[in-house]
Amino acid sequence: MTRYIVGRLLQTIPVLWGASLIVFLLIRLIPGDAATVLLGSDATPENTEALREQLGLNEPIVVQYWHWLVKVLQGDLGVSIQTRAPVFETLMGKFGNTLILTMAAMVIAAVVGVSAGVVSATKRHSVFDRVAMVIALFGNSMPAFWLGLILVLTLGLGLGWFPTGGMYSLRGDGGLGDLLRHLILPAITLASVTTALVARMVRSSMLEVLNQDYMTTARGKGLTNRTTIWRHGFRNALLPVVTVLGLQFGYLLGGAVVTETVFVWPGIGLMTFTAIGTRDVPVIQGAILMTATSFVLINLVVDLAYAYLDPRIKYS
Amino acid sequence: MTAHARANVVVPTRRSESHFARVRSDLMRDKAAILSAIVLVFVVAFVILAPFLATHDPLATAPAKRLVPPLTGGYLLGSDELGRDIYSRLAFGGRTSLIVAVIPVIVATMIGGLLGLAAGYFRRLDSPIMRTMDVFLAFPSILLAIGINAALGPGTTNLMISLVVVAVPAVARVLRSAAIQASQFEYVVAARAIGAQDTRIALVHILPNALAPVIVFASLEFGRMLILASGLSFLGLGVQPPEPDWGAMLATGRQYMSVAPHVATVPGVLIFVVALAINTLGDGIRDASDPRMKR
Repeated sequence: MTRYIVGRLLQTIPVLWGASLIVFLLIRLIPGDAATVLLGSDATPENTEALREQLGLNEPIVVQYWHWLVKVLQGDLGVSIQTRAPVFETLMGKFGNTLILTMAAMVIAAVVGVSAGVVSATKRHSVFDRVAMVIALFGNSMPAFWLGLILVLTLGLGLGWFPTGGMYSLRGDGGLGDLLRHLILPAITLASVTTALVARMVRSSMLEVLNQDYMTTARGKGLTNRTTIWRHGFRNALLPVVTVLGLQFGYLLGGAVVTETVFVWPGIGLMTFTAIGTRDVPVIQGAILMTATSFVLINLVVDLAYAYLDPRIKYS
Repeated sequence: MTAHARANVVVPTRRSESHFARVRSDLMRDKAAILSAIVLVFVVAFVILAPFLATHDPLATAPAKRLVPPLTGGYLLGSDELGRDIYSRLAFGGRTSLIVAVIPVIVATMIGGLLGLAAGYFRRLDSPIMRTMDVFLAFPSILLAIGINAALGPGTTNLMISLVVVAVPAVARVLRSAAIQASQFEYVVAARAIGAQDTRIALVHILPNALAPVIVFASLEFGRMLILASGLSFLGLGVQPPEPDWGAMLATGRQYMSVAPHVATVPGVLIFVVALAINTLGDGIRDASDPRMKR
């Protein structure tokens, strides 16, 4: 077990290093002179030279990377070209909001997806199963930004049940109730694809487990249907789902860019969208690096949790 | 030698024929897959025949007829914020929207396929190639695509480049594991025994036998790329105005959501229907080619 944990921790280092290299190289993808491109046509030569200096473009690329990496490890992601604000601090200020949205979507996906999947599998070919799987297929094919707009149009603008954007009302008390009212639509939008995927995955994983001999044994020794399904079936069907949920976390962090844009949710996704409009590459780089790092670390935690849940890994 | 050569050629061919024939006959019994194929044929015909089916010039503006609702004023699906005909823009825009999804999948399948084949067959290359792919997989694909597209600059070509980069690693993974399986078959050992070169074995003996899972995977990738590409155009990267594109149309329509919801919702319906058809057909192909998947 210790060997597995140490090995898994060591695997993380080259991945994070490689990710930092890719993020660093993004600025090199800018065609022509990056400083001129980023500042636009009305920049003075002095400004351009200053930015070139700030981005370290005057140095050889290896030296540039080294300086950049040392700074990143100290929590310095440079400054925004537009606002001159330090990128790391600004992103950290918004990261919590993105986490709230992502976590809410994760809870919806796990609760709705898992229950729909289990019920579908145990009542296979029933009306519920068919309807749930058609909805899952739809959810998997629906662009999140479109679903978001439809929800804004119907439940927001049309029925007025939910606010159409933002995180708190201007005149609200800024309390939890206000936050939840603003959170529901974006969280459903962000969760749609993952929920569909989890439901389909749990269903097929459950179907596989239900045919196992130990299920027949459990039923044969007189356990109730409910105990058999939840205690013996669900527990075993859950293992692959844990991995998928971990991987989906990255998808949710990425999907947050689109969802936050639709709902004007003040997280790092909305910041990325604003930075795209002004071609503020340091901010985009920072947002990508921060997301990729969280994603890698969460997968690490999931893998370690998996080893804990599945004794086969512990003893091999 | 003749007998050898014949055995080498005939056996895999017959096998693959029967495999594809079985997949086809299974697919023909899948009603949802057939319906999806029909929908896709209609959509492709719709965008190819755009010059004949369009009722207006997709770029012609009419300031007096802005945001006209569907089925009024000679506009089948209404007009947008500049008075352009939405129906005609959907027909012409579909060309861009479909091409920016299809080309990256094809290019990424070729690049990722070769990388996966090299990693799966030449074991020395396995670790360097796959560890590099793992690094790319550490990014949520939409974010990596945003980064590349934003650095290269907005535009259709740059959009496709960024989509290729995010699609390659997964293809490489799929082909690698298929290649590892295929390289353990006896005919590979036999080919090596008669002195065939590694490159020849990889391309002639392993690749054709490792292709089936990649084709299935690629068919499902079309749907993912369509949604990803329209998402990037929605964010202001990718296809640029005034060029019509389903994702870009939806993005501009967003500002008129409360006065003219059709501008944003209509292109979204089309993206949804096409993605649904691609995913259903892809599911059908997967189920037909892998009998174990059948439920």
